[in-house]
Amino acid sequence: MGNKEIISPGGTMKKLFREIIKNRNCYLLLLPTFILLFVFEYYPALSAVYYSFFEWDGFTPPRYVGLENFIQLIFKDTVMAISAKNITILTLFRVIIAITVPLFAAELIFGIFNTKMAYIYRTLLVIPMVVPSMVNLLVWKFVYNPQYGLLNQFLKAIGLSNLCRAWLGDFSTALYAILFLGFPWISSLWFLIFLAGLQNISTDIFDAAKIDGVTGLKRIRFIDIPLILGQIKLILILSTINALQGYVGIMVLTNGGPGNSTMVPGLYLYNNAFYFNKMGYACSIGMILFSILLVLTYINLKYIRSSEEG
Amino acid sequence: MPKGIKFLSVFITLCIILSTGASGFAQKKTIRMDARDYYPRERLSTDRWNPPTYLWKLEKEYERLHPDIDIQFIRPPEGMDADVWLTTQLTGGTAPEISEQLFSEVNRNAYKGWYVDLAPFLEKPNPYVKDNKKWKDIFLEIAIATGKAADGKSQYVLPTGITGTAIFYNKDIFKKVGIRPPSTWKEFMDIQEKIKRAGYIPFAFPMAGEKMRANWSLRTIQDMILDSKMAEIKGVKGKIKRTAIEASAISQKELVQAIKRGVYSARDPQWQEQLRLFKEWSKYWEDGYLGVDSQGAYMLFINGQAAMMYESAAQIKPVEVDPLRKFEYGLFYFPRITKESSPYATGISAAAVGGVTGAGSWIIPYTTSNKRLVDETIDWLMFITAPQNYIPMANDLGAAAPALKARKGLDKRLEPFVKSLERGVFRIESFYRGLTREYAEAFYQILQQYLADKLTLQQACEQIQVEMEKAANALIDTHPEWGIKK
Repeated sequence: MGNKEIISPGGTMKKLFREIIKNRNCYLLLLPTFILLFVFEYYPALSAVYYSFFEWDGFTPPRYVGLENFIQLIFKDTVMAISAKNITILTLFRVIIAITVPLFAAELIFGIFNTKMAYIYRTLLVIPMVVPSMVNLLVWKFVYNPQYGLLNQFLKAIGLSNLCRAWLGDFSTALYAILFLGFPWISSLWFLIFLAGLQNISTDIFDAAKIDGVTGLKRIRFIDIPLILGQIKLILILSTINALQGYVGIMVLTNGGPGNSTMVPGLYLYNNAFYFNKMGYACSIGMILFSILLVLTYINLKYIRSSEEG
Repeated sequence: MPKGIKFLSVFITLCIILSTGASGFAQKKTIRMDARDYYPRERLSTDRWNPPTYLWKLEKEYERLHPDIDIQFIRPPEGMDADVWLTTQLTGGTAPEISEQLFSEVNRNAYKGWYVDLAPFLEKPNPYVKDNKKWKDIFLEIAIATGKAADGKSQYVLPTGITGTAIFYNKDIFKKVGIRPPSTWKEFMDIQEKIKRAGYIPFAFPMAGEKMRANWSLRTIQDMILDSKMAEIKGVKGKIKRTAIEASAISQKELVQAIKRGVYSARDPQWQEQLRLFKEWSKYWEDGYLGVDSQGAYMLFINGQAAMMYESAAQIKPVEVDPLRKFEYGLFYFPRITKESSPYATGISAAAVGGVTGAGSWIIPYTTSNKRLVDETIDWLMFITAPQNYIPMANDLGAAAPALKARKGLDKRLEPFVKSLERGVFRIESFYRGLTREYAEAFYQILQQYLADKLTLQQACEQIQVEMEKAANALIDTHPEWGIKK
């Protein structure tokens, strides 16, 4: 409450300043965090805005080119066009998966009445969180290996050897193989957020729903989902950001190939910045990604409202 | 006195005492070395052969001689492109005092002022070599020549590792099928057909990940196919002879000029022939080669599934000692293309792929100069390149022969690769280092599409031509001193 008074519109600057002096130790303790945030987060982001208007190799003096980088990127760059198409497919798929599968898993665990069993299942679903993502990626690389891979060996074992292929080296399957990464797609973090949301719903509501005959899928649709809309919104934003910016998995598994069939803007940005030394151009890719994310986040915040927000 | 202030004063006093005490000790100068292939490390349980360790021995010996110096070894993070890593270090001003980079990359970046010119130091005596007057005298001339900058004077890199390539073959499979190593492209295709019919993979070829094998192959094929055109490309009359200095016959500037004049063009059917032959060969590679990396190809060969693989001297030690190998192996050079296989062939032998471009292309970044550590770093480099140190170090690694005049004690297994250079190396870089990195990337993507039948030969070459012209223009922008008009 006290904080609200300090920053209320009616409060004067003088009063605010006095409060800051009064709580100077707290503000001083926050200062290093803000300095580090500025140096490592805000300054690079702001400088990327600046350098997106330059041709710059990262070392020699930059040359101002105006909007040339953006014009090239949006209207002439064929690799960027392929990347945009790929990332749209990947993002749509990953966001839908991020919302549905962990929610489904959370509902299943939430529905277990035996607390001991629920705890065991919850732990089992969270354990994968501690496995480094690189290990996961290397396992998937092995699964897709055309000669020794688990997938082709399995297909051979069940008599479907005609379906065997180089999953990551085939133009027609590489992107889908990337989509399939991480199957069964239960992200531990998203799962925990959903479960926490469900556990936060008052039992009175469930009791009332039960009396009214709202059970099973109906309960999920009319009670659970509206009441965890805040969590859904959060995961929608975070998974969109992750999916749009993500490229590490692709870099490890296909490096954008074969051809450019799995190229995504994040990897293209990385290649331009560190492989082609085109820092200015890379910054302009970053700017476009940032703008898209900003618009999507705004739409999300404006049009999806949780029960708490009314 | 408040408790906090009392604590602060005690803390500051302690800091002053400690810093005064520390200054009493002589501070060591640290030389961080990105030793790359020579990076010493302990053998891991997953290793199938011993990793290099010899630098540890040299480090100890050197630090005993120079107690004020502390040598530290570093290397790029596992899985990261070493050049990308070094570029970021150089850009950020945090590069190690000594590092490794191929001469082609060094020449690409030299205009940025990233490297210390080693030429004056090469004129000085190496104190670790008996009776040496000039350090450069201990190296083969091709080593010094390979590292020369475009101005012909500066020396921003000291290439000291000779490498070569060869086709490794499974002698047991060859014996079973009843074939011998081929000498012409026609024979090469014929034996692969026989191997395929016998149920083996004729050739393990990686087309995913790094682009080296495709680059080596296309360099060699291109050199034979464009043999009759070399002088025209260079813009002179007469014959352009091969030398042992990689891509020296036709410089980057001459290549750009040839592109602008239209004599080096992907629209030229003679140029296109290299891609046609490459694709013809690809039908003998393993299934899904677009998804197989060099490690995957190596495993196919070493497990006896594939009859051949194209590798460099760096694979000699692994193949020799790998416990997975249950067969005899042999080496042969890339086959000669004759009129039987292509109307453009002149019958010239295949050029060697290699040169003084193996492990140990040493550079000293500008940051070492900023730290006033150039003299100390040069001294360490002189120490390790002294034959009594460098030859055992190279033998321990087993990947590249030192480009030294002294050969005593050199591992005999590296000899065929050194010998391969006698044929002279390719005259034009195909795509990997010749123009820009962006061109290399685009070329490779187009090549993959062509191999997968996503593009016809004409479509692929048209796209390559666009990228080639783009790269030529980018280089003209970077090098206004060339005086070439767009």
